[in-house]
Amino acid sequence: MTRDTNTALLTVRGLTKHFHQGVWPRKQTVVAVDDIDLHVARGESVGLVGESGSGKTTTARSILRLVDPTAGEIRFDGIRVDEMPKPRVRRLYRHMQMVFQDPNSSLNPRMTVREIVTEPLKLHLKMSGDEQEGRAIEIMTLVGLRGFHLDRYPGQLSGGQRQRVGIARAIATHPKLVFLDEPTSSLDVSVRGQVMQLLIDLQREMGMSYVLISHDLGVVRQLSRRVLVMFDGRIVEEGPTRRVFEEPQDDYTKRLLAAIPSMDGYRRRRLGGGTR
Amino acid sequence: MAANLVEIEGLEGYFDTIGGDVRALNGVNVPIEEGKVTGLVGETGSGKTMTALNIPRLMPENFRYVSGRVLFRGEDVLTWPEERMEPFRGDGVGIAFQDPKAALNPVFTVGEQLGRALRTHTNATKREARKAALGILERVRISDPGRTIRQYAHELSGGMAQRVMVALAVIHPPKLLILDEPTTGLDVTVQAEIISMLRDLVESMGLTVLLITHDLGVVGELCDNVAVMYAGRTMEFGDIGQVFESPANPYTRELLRSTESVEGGVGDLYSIPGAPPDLRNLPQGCFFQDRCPSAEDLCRTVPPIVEVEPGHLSMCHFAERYHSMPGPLHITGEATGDGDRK
Repeated sequence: MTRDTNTALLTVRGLTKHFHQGVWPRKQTVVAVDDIDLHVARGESVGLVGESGSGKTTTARSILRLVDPTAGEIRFDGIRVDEMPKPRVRRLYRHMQMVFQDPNSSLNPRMTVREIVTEPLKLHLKMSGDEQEGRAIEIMTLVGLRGFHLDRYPGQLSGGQRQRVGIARAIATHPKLVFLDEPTSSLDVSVRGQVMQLLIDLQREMGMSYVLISHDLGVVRQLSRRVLVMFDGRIVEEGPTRRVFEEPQDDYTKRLLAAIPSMDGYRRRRLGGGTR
Repeated sequence: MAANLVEIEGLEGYFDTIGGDVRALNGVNVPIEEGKVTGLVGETGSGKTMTALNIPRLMPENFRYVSGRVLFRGEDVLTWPEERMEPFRGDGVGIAFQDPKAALNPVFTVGEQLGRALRTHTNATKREARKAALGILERVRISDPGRTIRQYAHELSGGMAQRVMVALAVIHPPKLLILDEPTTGLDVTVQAEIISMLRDLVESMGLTVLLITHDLGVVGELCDNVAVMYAGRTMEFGDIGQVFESPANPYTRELLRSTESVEGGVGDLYSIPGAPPDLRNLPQGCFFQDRCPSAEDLCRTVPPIVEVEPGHLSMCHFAERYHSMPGPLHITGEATGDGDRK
C-alpha cells in the first residue's frame, strides 16, 4: 500500500492494547485493540464504526496516550507519539483534541462555560486575560453560541448547547486533529443534524482532520468520506464510505448494515402478508 | 378497523413547580387500536412518556390536569377511585420501563421478580410461577433461562435486561402493553434482535401495544399506527403508511426529512432550524410556528384537528395542503395500498 506520507497527519501501525483483568492466579488479558493500522490525511475525516466493546474508543485513547498502548507505532505530524514522555504528550494536545460522547459528564459542572473554553487557551497558548476573552467570544460564535453563554454553567444549557461547548473547548487552540467520540449520540434528531452541520462547517473553515467514532452509521455517512469497520479489536473492513455501505465485503459489516431499523420497514412487513 | 382499546382525548395538564408551570401536555389525542402497535414518537420533552403514564395513572404528584379523558374500553380511567387502579396496573396496563437496568429491582433475582409479577395477579403457586417464569424468558429469547432466573439486574447485559423487562410486563399479559424506548442505548445488532423478538411476541400473544420511541426506524419496523408528538401536543395521527408517505403536518414532514438525512445518511444533511419551545413559555397558537417553513399569521391561533382522510388526523391550519404535497421520504419499493395488516 502506498500512501503519500507527506500529507499523512496521523499514521498508526500495529497498534495493540491489552487490558489486564482480575488478580493472579485468575488474571486475564483482554485484547481491546489488536494490531490496527490507521492513516489520517490532513483535512480528512475518517469514520471508525463498530459496536460497544469493539475497541473504537480505546483506539482513540491509545493514540492520545490517555492509555498507554501495548505495542505499535503512532506518528502524529511526523513525530513519534508512542515513545514520547507524558509531559511532552500533554503539549501535543494543543494540536490533538477530543470531543467526548456525553457532554453531561465531560464538562465540569462547577466551571462556567468561560472557564471551560479558556482553559486550553491558558494552558497551551499562554494567552493573557484579554486575549482569552476575545478568543472565547470568537469561538462561541463559531460553534453557534452567544457571548452571554460564557457566564452560564453547563447545567443551565440544553444538551445540544452543551455539546457545542464540548466542541468549542476542543477547537479552541486550532488543533490539527480532533477525535469525535460519538459526538451526537446523546442528542435528539433535529439537534443532531445541527451539530453535524456545525462539525462539517468547522472542518471546512479550519481545515482540521477528524477521526469520528460512532455506532451510528448515518452520522458516519454524512461526515466521513472514508470508513473503517472495527469488530473485536480488529479492523475488518476499510474503504470509501459509500463503497463500504453500498457493497460491504465483510460479513460483520453486512450484519451491521442489515441491523439498522428502517423507516420503511412497515412496507416489507405488509408486503410479506401475515409474516409481519 | 378494529375497536379502540384506549382513547386519549384532549388531554391537557401541567407540572406545578417552583419555577412556574411547566405545560407538559397541551392537547394529546391518541387512539390505541386493539391488537395493533401504536407508536408515540417525538423528541425529548415532547410528552411521550407523560402521555403514556396517564393510562395507569402513574403521574408525578405535582402534575395537574386541566382537561381531557383517558378512555379504557369507553370508561374514563381518570375518574376511577384509587382502589380500582391497583389491580388495573399490571392487568389492564403493563409497562416495560425505559432504562431496564435501572428499572429492575437490584436486590431480587430475575426469577423472584417474575414470580411476584405473576402472583400479584393470579393465584399461581410458587412452582407454577417458576415454570411460567422460565417459559416467558424463553419467549423473550433468553438463551439460558435456568441461569438468568437466578441472576440479579447488575449481572445482565443491556440486551438481556431489556428482555427481562419485557418478560416482567407480559408474564401476566396485560390488555395494553406500554413499551418505553425498548431499544434505546443498545447496539445496532442487539437492537435488531429485540425488534424481531418484540414483533413475534406481539404477534403470537395478540398484544395491544403503545410503543414510545424517538427512533423513526423503530416505528417503521414495529408500528401499525403512529402519533407524532411535539411540545405536548399530538401533531399528527394515522396509519404508518399514511403518516410516513403523505404527512399532513409540517412538523412531521420536517422530522421525517431530517431523520432520513441524519440517520439514514440519505441526501444532503438537513436539520430543522431552531429548537422546540420552552414548556414554561409556550407561544400562542401553533407550537411549531417559529420553526415552520411556511408559517402565516393564521398560525398564531390554535390550529384545528383536521381529518385529511379516514383515520388520518393533523393539527394544522394547512393540513389539507400538506397532505396533498409529495411525501418527503425517498421511499423505494412498491406501494402497498391499504394499511390493513391482514
